[in-house]
Amino acid sequence: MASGVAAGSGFLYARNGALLAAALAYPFLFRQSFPQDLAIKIFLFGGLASAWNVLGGFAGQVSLGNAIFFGVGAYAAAVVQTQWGWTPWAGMLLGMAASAGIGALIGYPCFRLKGHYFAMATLAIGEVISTLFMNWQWVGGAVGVYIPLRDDTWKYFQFGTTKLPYYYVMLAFLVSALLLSAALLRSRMGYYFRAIREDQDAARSLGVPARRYKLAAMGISAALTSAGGSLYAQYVLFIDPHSVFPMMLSIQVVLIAILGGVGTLWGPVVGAMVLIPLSEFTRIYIGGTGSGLDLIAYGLLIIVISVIQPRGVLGFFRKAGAA
Amino acid sequence: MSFLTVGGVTKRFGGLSANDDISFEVAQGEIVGLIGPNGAGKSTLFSCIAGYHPVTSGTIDFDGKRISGLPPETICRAGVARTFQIVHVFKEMSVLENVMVGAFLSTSSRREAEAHARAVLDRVGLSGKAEAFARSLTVSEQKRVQLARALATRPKLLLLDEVMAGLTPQETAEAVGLVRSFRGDGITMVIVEHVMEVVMPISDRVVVLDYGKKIAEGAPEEIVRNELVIKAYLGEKRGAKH
Ligand SMILES: Nc1ncnc2c1ncn2[C@@H]1O[C@H](COP(=O)(O)OP(=O)(O)O)[C@@H](O)[C@H]1O
Ligand SMILES: [Mg+2]
Repeated sequence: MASGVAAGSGFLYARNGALLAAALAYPFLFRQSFPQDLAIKIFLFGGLASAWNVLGGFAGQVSLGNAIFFGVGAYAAAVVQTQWGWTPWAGMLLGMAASAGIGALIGYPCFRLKGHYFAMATLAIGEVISTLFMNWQWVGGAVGVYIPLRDDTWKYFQFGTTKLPYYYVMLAFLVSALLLSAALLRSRMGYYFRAIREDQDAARSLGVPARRYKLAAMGISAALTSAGGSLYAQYVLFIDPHSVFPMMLSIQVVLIAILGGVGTLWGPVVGAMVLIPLSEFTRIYIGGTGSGLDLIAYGLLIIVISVIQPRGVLGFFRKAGAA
Repeated sequence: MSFLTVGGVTKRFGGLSANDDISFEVAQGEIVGLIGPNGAGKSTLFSCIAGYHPVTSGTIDFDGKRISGLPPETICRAGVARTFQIVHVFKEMSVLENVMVGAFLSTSSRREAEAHARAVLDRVGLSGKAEAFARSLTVSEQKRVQLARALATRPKLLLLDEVMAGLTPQETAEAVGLVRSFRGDGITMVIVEHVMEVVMPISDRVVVLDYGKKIAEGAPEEIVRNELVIKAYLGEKRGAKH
């Protein structure tokens, strides 16, 4: 990895530039609402899965509670508007800070737990926080929050039925998540994250303060996930505990990252490009909400891919033994 | 003046005293061999010094500071690096990246860490494997990765746990030369080897453990003639035949 970068950097710039140009041009080629909405969801989930990947993929701490931060971000954006009349952008920053703090509070005791126990603890805490919001009247309780409609502006990040601005903001969210991940992978912090994932005892013997770095991974993952939640709230303009704290979301981001290639830079994007259309189409063609058939089809595909290629979709493009 | 002081260290696992009131000192620049039959408590003592096991009682001081009770990362930062008898490499990282993790202790620059890691790999003769995944290496190569990684932290005290086990006679000779060369960098070393013949020629002094207790300490020539030591090793050979 360290030495291969220089040799292929020209190609990488060209490829990434072409991908970005295609993403920028897409809404002009596909003008209908459905394909634009689909792309917006792919960007959102690609970004959320990248955020999960920082903690789960790079640092190896599998969280099943990332919906906590998504929900906190969504509520922060919404509630600062309804209660204080702030812009959702300020709410987004507040939510990111709050999520990083909550992440640290969860991580401090839970990082003592090994492997599956950490995952279970985050799953349980996610359910507790969802219940708390259900009963917290100041943020709308079980009814949720309607974000007050305003003139279509960037200040309040509302554009009525126009999808284009949402499309570009979600794209920017995904690109930011990728740039951050790429920068992390090349930094000391990224090396330390991976060392902790591979063997925490060995990492500590080399002077890596594992706990502090795991907390940092949690904070970064939480803040990024929270930003995604804020953007989502502005896109749908109505949130309640069921829609922004679902356990399904926590699990979905993990599946996306694992399916695409856990711990890799592009895995979460590839995973989102496969799973999000799949889940949208299975929902449309197989099951209305509630039948669960869509989830079964979705689950089967994940099993098939993991059996064929345990390293995720990106594993198909990787030569054995290459870094 | 003593650089490392092990003061009455006892480590119990349940009812078993893996280390029983062990005391010895290591001077700066010295190479001390730590030997004893299998299960004598050598690796446990390393783990106590490096902060992996909290000692049950006793104290460990290094470079004028009390290090017993500190976590492993702090002890490493104080200048103590170790290798593990059972290999603990970062499997899904390249050999170079493994060593860079060690090199990052003294720099946050990736470029500098890489340059330092490559220099260390060169020194231990692993340059040719720099880009390979650590998991694709043989066990003795992985042991060398551990050595390189520890060395990359620029330690003042190096604890080597059976780094030469399983090597051919020629590889052993090379490894001995390598270990000797570290002394030229001012690195103090404690070397655990199960096989006495390997550790004797490179050690200034030898400490012998048996059943968790220190049974002898002295110059290599004295140790090979020591009754208790001979008995401990003979006992083991008799035991092994059954
Ligand atoms: N983590 C542990 N838990 C329980 N017993 C242990 C543990 N580590 C080592 N022991 C026991 O302590 C004794 C000393 O082991 P060890 O230090 O590995 O010996 P050596 O390295 O000299 O071969 C052995 O009897 C071993 O079974
Ligand atoms: Mg041992």
